[in-house]
Amino acid sequence: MSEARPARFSLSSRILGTIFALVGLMYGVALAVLGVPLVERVQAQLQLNAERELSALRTAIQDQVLLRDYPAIEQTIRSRVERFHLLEARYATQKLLIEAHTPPRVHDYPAWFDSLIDSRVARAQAEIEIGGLSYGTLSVALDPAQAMRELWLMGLRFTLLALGSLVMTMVLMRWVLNVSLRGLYELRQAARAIEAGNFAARARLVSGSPPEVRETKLAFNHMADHVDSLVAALEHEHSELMVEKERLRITIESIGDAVLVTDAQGRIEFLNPKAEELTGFASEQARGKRVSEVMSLIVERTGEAIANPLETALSRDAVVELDTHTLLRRHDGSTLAISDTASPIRSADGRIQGGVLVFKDESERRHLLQRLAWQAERDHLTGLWNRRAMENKLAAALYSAQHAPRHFVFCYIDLDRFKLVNDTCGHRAGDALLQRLTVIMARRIEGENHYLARLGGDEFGLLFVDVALPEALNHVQALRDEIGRFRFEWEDKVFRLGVSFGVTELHAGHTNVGEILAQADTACYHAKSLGGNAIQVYEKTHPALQKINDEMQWIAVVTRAFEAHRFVLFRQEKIALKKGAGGQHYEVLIRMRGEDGAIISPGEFLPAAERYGLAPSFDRWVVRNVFAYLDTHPEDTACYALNLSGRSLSDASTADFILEEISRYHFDPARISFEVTETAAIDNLDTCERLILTLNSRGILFALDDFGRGQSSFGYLKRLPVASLKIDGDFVRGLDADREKLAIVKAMHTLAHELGKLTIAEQVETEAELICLKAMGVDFVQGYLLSRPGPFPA
Amino acid sequence: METTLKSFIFVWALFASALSHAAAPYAFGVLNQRSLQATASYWNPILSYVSARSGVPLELHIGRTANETTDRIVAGKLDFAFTNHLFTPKRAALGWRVLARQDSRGIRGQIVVREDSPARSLQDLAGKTVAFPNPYAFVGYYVPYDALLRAGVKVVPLFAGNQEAAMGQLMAGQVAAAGVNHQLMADFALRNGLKYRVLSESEPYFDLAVMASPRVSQADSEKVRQAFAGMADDPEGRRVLDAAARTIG
Repeated sequence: MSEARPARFSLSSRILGTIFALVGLMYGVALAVLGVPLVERVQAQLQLNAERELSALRTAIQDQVLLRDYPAIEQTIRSRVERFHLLEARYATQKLLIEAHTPPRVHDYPAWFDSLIDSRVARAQAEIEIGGLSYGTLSVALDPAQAMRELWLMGLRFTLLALGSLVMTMVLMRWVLNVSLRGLYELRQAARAIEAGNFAARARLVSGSPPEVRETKLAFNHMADHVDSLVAALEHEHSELMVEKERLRITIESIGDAVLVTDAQGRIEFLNPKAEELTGFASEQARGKRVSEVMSLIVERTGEAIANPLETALSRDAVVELDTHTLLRRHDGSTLAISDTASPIRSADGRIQGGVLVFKDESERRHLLQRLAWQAERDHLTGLWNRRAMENKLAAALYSAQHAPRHFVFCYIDLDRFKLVNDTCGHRAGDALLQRLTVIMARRIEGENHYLARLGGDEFGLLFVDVALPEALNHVQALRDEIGRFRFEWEDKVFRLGVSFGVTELHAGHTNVGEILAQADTACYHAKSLGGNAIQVYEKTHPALQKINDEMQWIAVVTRAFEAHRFVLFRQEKIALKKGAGGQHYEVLIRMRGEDGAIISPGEFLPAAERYGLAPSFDRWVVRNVFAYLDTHPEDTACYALNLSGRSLSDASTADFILEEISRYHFDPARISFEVTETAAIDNLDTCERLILTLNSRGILFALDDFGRGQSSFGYLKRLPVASLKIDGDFVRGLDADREKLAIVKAMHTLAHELGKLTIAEQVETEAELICLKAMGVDFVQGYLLSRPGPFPA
Repeated sequence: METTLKSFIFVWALFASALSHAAAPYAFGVLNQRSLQATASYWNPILSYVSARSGVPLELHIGRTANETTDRIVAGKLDFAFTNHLFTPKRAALGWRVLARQDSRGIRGQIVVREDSPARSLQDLAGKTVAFPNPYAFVGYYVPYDALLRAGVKVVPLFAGNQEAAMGQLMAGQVAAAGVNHQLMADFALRNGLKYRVLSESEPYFDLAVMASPRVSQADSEKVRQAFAGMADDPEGRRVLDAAARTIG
């Protein structure tokens, strides 16, 4: 704010000057108003005096004129001229002239006054006529000097009076002003004291001060009080602001984000240490530069320059966030992945005061994201696409096939005998095998527009893009041959692998990815069932595939029944052949009730359920319902064995689920046992072992079901902490007549007992079989001969 | 006064014009009965008229006092005179002849006092100061003083200079009584609102007359006389007379 130029003259000077001017003006006006008429009156008076003098002289000489006493007339004229100091008096007839003069008086007033007044000699003249007869002419001239002198003296007195009045007025006004302005001077002193920082300074209230000054002082003091409190508040806020500012400074300097602050024109004012580190510019070095000079931004992929977001934010008056994939070109030329947010800084009234750009080093995060993105789509072991990625690509391919005449072929690949490697050489060997095999397959299809994915375990998926089925089959054939030639060596063992291919071509009739996968899987399943190392193209009309398809039809039926609660629990008793086994023992079975209410045996729907991943749901349903039954039927003290599918065994959360369910009820967990098939247990050996150990700790025992049907490795038997072996029914049926079966069952039984495990013979249907088993010493028998499956009591 | 002038007979009027010539004007003396100014104011218009009518130039000459005027007449300094001071035997020898006289019933001498004066008779004036116009005034001094002498009353005379001056003294209370021309006194009292009482009054005498010096030719005298005498009948003369009369009230 520009300071107003102070007036040249003080208030006193102005007032005194004004009074001086007013008095002077009044003096002038008075001179004009009074003086001019006075001068005119004086001159009129002078003229009148001349007339009077003339009249007097006329009177004086009138008789003498009548008497024609001319000496007397002359004497009278002379006498009068001298006596009254007439400049001139003259009496003239036709025959004589009598006159007398006196010199003008020497005047003592200044000549300019005479010039100013323009004094004139007053003259009067008259004819002496008596009775109509003229006796001559008489004239007089009066000296104006005396009148002018009197006028001068009067003017002089008036001027002196005016001057005296002026001086008196000025002195009086000066005194009044001094007294009156003293309060203002005190106010000024107080104001300067406040200006100097003494906010306690106040204007002193003096008795006798003019009320205006007193009111002004009171107002000033009130204002000073207010200012004092404001200053105190400001200082308090200032100190708080300083603390806040210091806190902010420390915060800004210590935060991990880089902060760049500019003025409203986009010129840099400040860089925090992190910004200095990232840009390579020191804050002092960057100050005053435009942001684009310090922060050169480019697109990560194209290298194109990007408009600086802060300048954009300032021009748009809006927050601008930079797109991802932005690189900062540092002062030394190196680049850095960053993300940033640019915002204008507004004052309280909304005006832009500057801008702030917050950015951070995104290199690690972006690398991590890329890694995560890679991991989300890749198989960590082989580096191939994973199942989810393949499903996405299949979805995209299906969409393309449905909307464009393009060819896509999907191939389901399942390694044969891979489990043998795992079983004999361990998982490390299996992993190494997969990696090496992956390299071979990837190399085989390298450069092609194909996608190879590991769908899980030893299953792979291969998607051919824009490739017709015959060409795809050629590729598959070549791949199979390549894998067939491959020999995997691990330590001193050499393995030869076979591979089964299920091939299906995508077409517009496919409804979803699951259908494609199912078709390929079906074809592969069939190829595998043919002995492996085969290629099977999915054909809807192929009988074997039709059967598999039928299984798949069951999926929908089972799902609907499950949702409609049409599953029921059955139980089949296991009879203890030895005394002392304690109580009754049942195996829990599941049955499905058809839509017509008929009971459907599990042999019809369970294979499909297990194959298509529904078995865990059945398992959990059974667990919940059996546990609820046990809790609500305390009169039933029997022990129940529940079946667990291979999928449940492979699910690490199964143990937690069972324990949580147990914790919800109050029956003795030892009344519960689980049966797992030998095949399922071996396929999920590790998780199965952990599950058994976990539940054993709560008193829950396990039985190895269908023992003898699978590989029945003694190693497994040793490793799995099962309490009993359930001898597969194939060995039990007809053992009384089949010596081999009898021998095998005996061996199994003996082995189990040697290992401290109980034996259970299932599917006992004849007395002869029962007798043999009793003779053998089997612990439990189960079969239609002894007890048919039946529903749980209500 | 106006009526008295009607009686002027100007026996010389017809000669005036015939005898007139460019010679110096005749000095026409007027006995001081009033102040010089009043006298001049009264007589100048008349003399101008007469001069014009008669062809005889006349110029008014007055002495400072009646005595002085009479002295001038007696000394032969004047050619015409309006006076009654020449009817003494001594002055009659001077040869002055009367040309005309005012047509009046004569004038009377009176001794008058103010109306508020305690004097009721001449005896009451004994020892008092009495004002008179001048020692030569016939009806103003000779006749009243004769009356006082006859009454055996001695007064202190005070000569005021002319008739109206003596009346002025009386009016101002400066004197106890005044000797006056009854006609002039009546005019003065009327003009000034003065109320007075007459203690003594004489028998009537001839009024003042216009007289000519013996050195004035008969012709001129006649012209002058005729002019005076015909003045009342001449409209112009009448106007002049009226104007002259207004100057003295």
